[in-house]
Formats: sequence, C-alpha cells, structure tokens
Amino acid sequence: MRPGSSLSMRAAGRASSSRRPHTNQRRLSDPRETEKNSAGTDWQTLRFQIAAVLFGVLWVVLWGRAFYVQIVMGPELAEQAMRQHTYTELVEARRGTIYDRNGQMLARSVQVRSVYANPREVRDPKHTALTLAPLLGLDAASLQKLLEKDRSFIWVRRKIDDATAEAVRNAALPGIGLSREYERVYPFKHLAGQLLGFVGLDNVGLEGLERSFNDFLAGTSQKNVVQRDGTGRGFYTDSSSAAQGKDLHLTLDVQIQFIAEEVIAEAVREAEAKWGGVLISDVESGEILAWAQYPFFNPNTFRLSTPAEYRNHLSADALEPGSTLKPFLMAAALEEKIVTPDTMFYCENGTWRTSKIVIGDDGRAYKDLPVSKLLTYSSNIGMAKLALEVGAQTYRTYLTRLGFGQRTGIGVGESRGILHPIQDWMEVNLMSAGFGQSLSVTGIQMLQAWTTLANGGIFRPLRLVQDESGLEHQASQRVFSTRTANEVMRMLIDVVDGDGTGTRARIPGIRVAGKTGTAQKADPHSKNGYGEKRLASFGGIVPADNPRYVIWVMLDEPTTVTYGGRLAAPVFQKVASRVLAYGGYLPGVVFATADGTSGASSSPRPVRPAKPAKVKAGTSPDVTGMSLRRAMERFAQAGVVPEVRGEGLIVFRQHPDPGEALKIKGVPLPCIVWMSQDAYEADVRKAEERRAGEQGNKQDADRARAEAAGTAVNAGTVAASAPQESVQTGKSSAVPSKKAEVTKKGTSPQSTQKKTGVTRKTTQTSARTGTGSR
Amino acid sequence: MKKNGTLGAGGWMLGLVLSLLFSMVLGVALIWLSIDRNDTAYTIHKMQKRVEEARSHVNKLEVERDSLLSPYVLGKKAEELGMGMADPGQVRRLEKQ
Repeated sequence: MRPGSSLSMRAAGRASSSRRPHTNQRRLSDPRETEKNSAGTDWQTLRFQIAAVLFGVLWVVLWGRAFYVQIVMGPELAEQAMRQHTYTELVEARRGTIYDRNGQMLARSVQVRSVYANPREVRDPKHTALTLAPLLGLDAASLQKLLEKDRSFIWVRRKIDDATAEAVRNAALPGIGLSREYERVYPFKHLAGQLLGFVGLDNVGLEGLERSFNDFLAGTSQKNVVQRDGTGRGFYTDSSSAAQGKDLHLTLDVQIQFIAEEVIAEAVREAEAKWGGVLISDVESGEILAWAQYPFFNPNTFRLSTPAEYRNHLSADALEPGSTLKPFLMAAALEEKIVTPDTMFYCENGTWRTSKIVIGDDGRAYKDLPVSKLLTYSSNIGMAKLALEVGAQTYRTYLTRLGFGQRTGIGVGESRGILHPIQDWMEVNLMSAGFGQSLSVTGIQMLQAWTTLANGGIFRPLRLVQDESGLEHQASQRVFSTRTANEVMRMLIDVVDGDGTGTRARIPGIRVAGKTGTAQKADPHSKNGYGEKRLASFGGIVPADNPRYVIWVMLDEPTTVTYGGRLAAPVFQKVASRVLAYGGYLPGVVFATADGTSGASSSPRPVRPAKPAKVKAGTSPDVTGMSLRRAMERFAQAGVVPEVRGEGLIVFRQHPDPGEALKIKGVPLPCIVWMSQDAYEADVRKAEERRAGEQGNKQDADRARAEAAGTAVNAGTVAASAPQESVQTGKSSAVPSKKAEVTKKGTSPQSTQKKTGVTRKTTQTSARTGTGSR
Repeated sequence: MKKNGTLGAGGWMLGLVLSLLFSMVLGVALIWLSIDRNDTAYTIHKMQKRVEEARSHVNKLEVERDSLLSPYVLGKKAEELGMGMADPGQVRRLEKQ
C-alpha cells in the first residue's frame, strides 16, 4: 500500500469514528500507540520540536543579523549608501555686475567652460593628448605627461571659448570633461581699467574695485547634494542655489570717462610723460564722474600687464602737488582774516635767500604783489611769506579739514599721503608747504579739496559708489565761509581769464577758475632733495559762476615740456569743453524753431539720474527717451512685448506709465511705445473721437480734438496720463483720456524732463527763450 | 460574515486577498511615482540647464552689444563719418511747434 493510501485510510477512519459508538474508540487509537510503542519514542513530537528549534535558531540568527546590520553597522552602511547614491556639486555664485551711473555695464561675469581630466579614466593618454592639444593650443607631449599621472582630477585648460568647448565635447574623449565657470568680462576693455581692477582665475578680486568690493560682489558659492541613479545621472534633491553677488553701481559716467581718457592719453603721449590722470567730480553731489589714467590697462588681459601698468596712480601715489595747493593756503589766510586781498607782499624780485633755503619765482621778478595777485602769478615767495603769516598749526588744521593726510574713504585702495605731525613742521617746511612742497597728496585728495572750494567751502565727501556698501565717509562740514570761497574763486578766475599762468585753460564763453602747478619731484640722490623731474598739474572749476564740475589733471614726469600751465591746462580745457558740450552747458546753444526764428538757449542737456530706477516686479519700466531696442529689452525683461507706434529714434511716450502696474486685476494692459509726438497725438485724437462718437455728440468730438491738440502744443510735451480701464468689459484703452490730459496739463516740461532724464525736443516756454547759460 | 458580526474564514480570506491586492497596487503606484519623480527631476534639471544656457547666451550677447557700443567704438565710427564733439556755437536745438 502506498503511503498516501494509508493516510487517506486513516483520515477516513477518523472521520467514520466520530459517527461510531464510544466502545470502538479505544480500538481505533491503537495504530498510534502501536507507532509509539514500536519506536520507543514519540517521533511526531520530536520532529515538531526539532523543526521548532531549527526555525527558532534561524529566526534568532536572522534577527541577530538584522540587529548587526541595522544597529551595529547601520551608520557606516548608511554613509556608504549615501556615497554611492549621492554626490555633492559646488554651485559657483555669479559675481555681481559693475555699472556706471547710467546703467552701462563696466564688468560682468559670463559662464564659460573649463576642460578637466580624470587621468585614471583616460584609456589612451597619447591619443587623448594628440586630439586635445591642437584644440586647446597646448603642447601634446606635456599634456600626455599630465594625463599619465595617477590622479583623479586635473585642470587641462580653464575658461575656454564656446567654440573650443563644443569641439572638445564633440571629441568625446573618455576621462575628459567640461565644467562651467564664470569669467569676468570688461566690455569697454581698458575704460577705467585701473579703477575697476581685475579678478583671478577663481573669481577673487585681486586689484581695484574688484578687490575692494570683493565681499560685496562675490556672493556665496553653494554645495548642493545631487542624487544619482544606477546609470550615474544626477538630479537635485533640493532647490537651494548659490547666493549671487550683488551689483555695484558706480557714479562714473562712461561718456565723461571716455572724454577724459581720450584727452589725457593724447597729452601723455605728446609730453612723453610717465603717466597722466584726470579726475572729474560733480560739485553738487560730490560724485566722481571720471577716473581716467594713461597708459591704459585692459583688465581682460591682466596677465599681460605689469603691476606698474595696473597701479591706480590717482589714489595710490602720494606726490608733492606744487602750486595747485596754494589756493587752500590763501583761503585759510582769508578765513582767519590774517590778510585781505589788498595786503601787499614783497616778493624779493624773484629770489628769496633765507637762512635755510633759496626760494625762486621761476625766473619772474616781482617786487610788491597784493594777495589777490599771488595766485595769479603763482608767486612762491609770496606764498611762502603768507604761510609764515598763517602759521603751521593753522595751516595744518585747514589741510586736515580738507582731507589731506587721510584716506577719502571712497572704497578704493589709496594712500593717506604725507602730512607731517605738527611737531615736525619746521620753518622751512612751512614755507615749502606754502607753495605745495614738503607734503604729499594723492590725486583723489586734491579733487576732494578742490570740490570743497567749488562747493562754497563746504566739505562734502566724494562718492564713487552709489550702493550702500558699508563705506564710512567723513561727515560734511564747512571749512571756509562762502565769502572766503568766493574770494578765492575770483582769484582763480583771474589765473585763467586774467594774465595768470592758466590762460591755456580758457574756454570761450565760459568762465573758468583754476590753478596751474609744476612741482619738483623728490630725488634722494640730489643735493637739495629735488631732482629734474616734475609733476605738471591743473585744478579747475567750471563754470566758475555756477560750479558744476571740478577737473583735476596731472602728468607725471613729462619730458618735452614740464609746466602745468603748458601741459595740464590745455588738457583741462579740452576735457572741460567736451564735458560741457556733453552736459549741455556749452555756451552759444542756438534755440531754433521750425519757423526759422532762433535765439540763445541755456537749458542743459538733461541727464538721467545717477541711480538707475529700480523697476518693481510687475510694473512698467521707464523707457521714455531710450532707443527702441533698449526699450524693447526693458519691456521684455518685464515679460511684455510692447506695440510700437510711429517712427523715430527714441521713445517719445509709453503706456503704461513708468511704475504703473502691467496688469489690473489680472487683465494685462496693452503696452505701447510711441516713437514720435505725431503718432501719440494721432492716437489721442482717435480716442477722443471714439469717445465723442460713442456719446453721439459730434460737436463734443470736435471740441475734444481741439483741446487735445491744444494741450500737446501748449504744454510742449504731452502730459502723463492714466489709461481708461474697463475691466468689467475686458477692454482697455491705452490712449489717455481728455480728462486726464487736462488734469495734468500743468506739468512743466522741465519737471517732465527731469523725471525722464533724457534729451527730448526742447520745449522751453517763451520765458526761457533767449536767456543765457549763467 | 456571520450574523453576530464576527468574520468567518471566507471573510478573513477575502479581506486578506483584498489587502494583498491593495498593497500590491500601492506598491506598483509607489514604483510608478518613484520613476515618474525621477523623470520629472531629470526633465527639470534639463530645463534648468537650458534656461541657464540661454541666460548665459543672453549675457554674452549683452556683453558683445556693450562692446560694440563702447564710447571708443562709437567715437571711432563718428570720426570716420566726420563727426566730433560740438564747439561753442555749434549746438542747435529744435523746438516742436
């Protein structure tokens, strides 16, 4: 019988036994007893026990292993898994952009590629080197050596151009990869090169503003955890990104900077000088408009330049200024009422032999000169005597209050200059200081002092950076009274307009105040401490009647001619003329009308405000006065493509007005730029007619048209207006309503121009026609 | 289910089967979601890279534009066209009548 049969019989027996009387149970249980008895043990129970023990042991082993893996080895394994499934990626922060006062880019970071290699993954170093070397302009043998090293990462070539990067990518070489990096680009090349400075390969500022404002510009790089799958492809598990660097807005004006650079370059070349520089400040605000230096330095190729070439001489070099310092001694003497303009000084016939030094007036023999003429003729003897009258303590105090002997705090690396402690001022030092020797100053310190004088004697710290960057400036303070400042200004005007040393700085139709300087340069090898080298300089204020610009010019170690009056004054004249033309302050501007009448006009060219208007998200940018291309870019940045109406070079009007919302209750407003006044007025007329037509009143439409036309003509410019919105109907009109037009009719053209800050067709009223610039 | 509210063997079995099925569905859904998440992550990553590249190109074009519009370049072009900075008396302003 098969085992299966016996089991089924037993089961059948058990099933039938339940239906039988109890008397049969004893007999039916006999087979089990027989099994137990025949073996001597309970095998079934034993089997169960063995199985239970086995399972139990297995269970304990499994739990033990689980405990070991999870608890004992857990952290280590988790870390191992993390290493296998994730990797960290360094996201480099984009360095902030540097702009000029009008929003033009001076420095920007752009993404470029760098080639790296993992030599352990390079299968054929020779083939790889031979393929890569010509693409990257490298030596194949050197590259092969590099690729044969037992390392996991090496840079092959950093910051390559896009075409080369694409060629490397197409080569598909094992072990060779491309990574992204930022490269600093200076679009205007050498423009303000020394001032801007440059950054190194790792985007750290090494010179100039890039170095001074490195923390501000740099941002913070971020390490991101990237998860990768079985194929090695990675994806970000968090969205954190690097903190981008902040943008830096300078007070420089690129156009004025260009003018200054062009003129100084020509002058330095002609004079065969070591270097030359021009600084220009805006008198009212103390903002530096130009910081020009020649020889130029191009930060894009800083590796090709020497430290001398990228040295910022205008702030780093402390030099004895010479006669351009005399106005401040004069102002101190007048302020302290030690002298009056009529006080006479005996000028020793051109040579004054004191017990210590011999002072000369450079070949000119003056006997008695009034104080008012000491500056005009730049008499060293007269000024030395004046210095003795003023005294060291007083003179030094004024020099300190003007900012000499201390850093200006504009945010560039600069020298303090040399202003000796009062105890070191001997009589000879005081006399020398009277005509600008025995103390050293930087160009920027001189600009600061001259700006104070031009500002009516009020010291206002110069500014180079518009942003709040934690710069510590000195507080504004009055150094000289207005009367003193005006008195000195009169003397300085006489230097240029009279028979003084600065006649080459004259500008026809504009009054100029200025002072020439020709300083001897210290030479330790010379007997008297001074050699043959000179510093030619000129400090000027223009227009003198209503000072707007201070221009400081210096040429170091000229060889052909050495006098400030012959070298630096013409530089001032050229720069000032062009800056005045650019600013609209040039005299003789003819105010012409379409009907042929004309007259003089004094209205300056309105310039955009120094701080570029920050456009709030979702609002309309200010594009009035911009070129169409730039206007389209601004709107595109705001996510809107405007409709262009009319023909012209610059945007005449825009809708929505600057700062207004681009959407109202979620409904986008139509964006329109009018390129001409005609187009704008035509739209105004059409809108009025439509409105009048809707009202069914033709008479009103004619009147409205007349009013709209009259508004445009009378106001000269069409006043800003709000669009009529019809949100309920989903329609909106971009054309100003007559009501809005009339309401804002009183807006003056000047205020509109100031607001928009751009040159428009002149809209002076008759009252302004024919007035002079001063 | 019996009348007294307790589950019979069939009920338990059904519940078990349903639970297993439900777990299986959940498991499949989890796998699908995981795959989809990965795909989405890849897509986002790819799109981010494209945006970044486009932005990078825009930056480069802006730099190029500024280079071409630098005062030196414009000054040279103006000089070639015989233009220069105005001297006193050369400036005219037109009024729109």
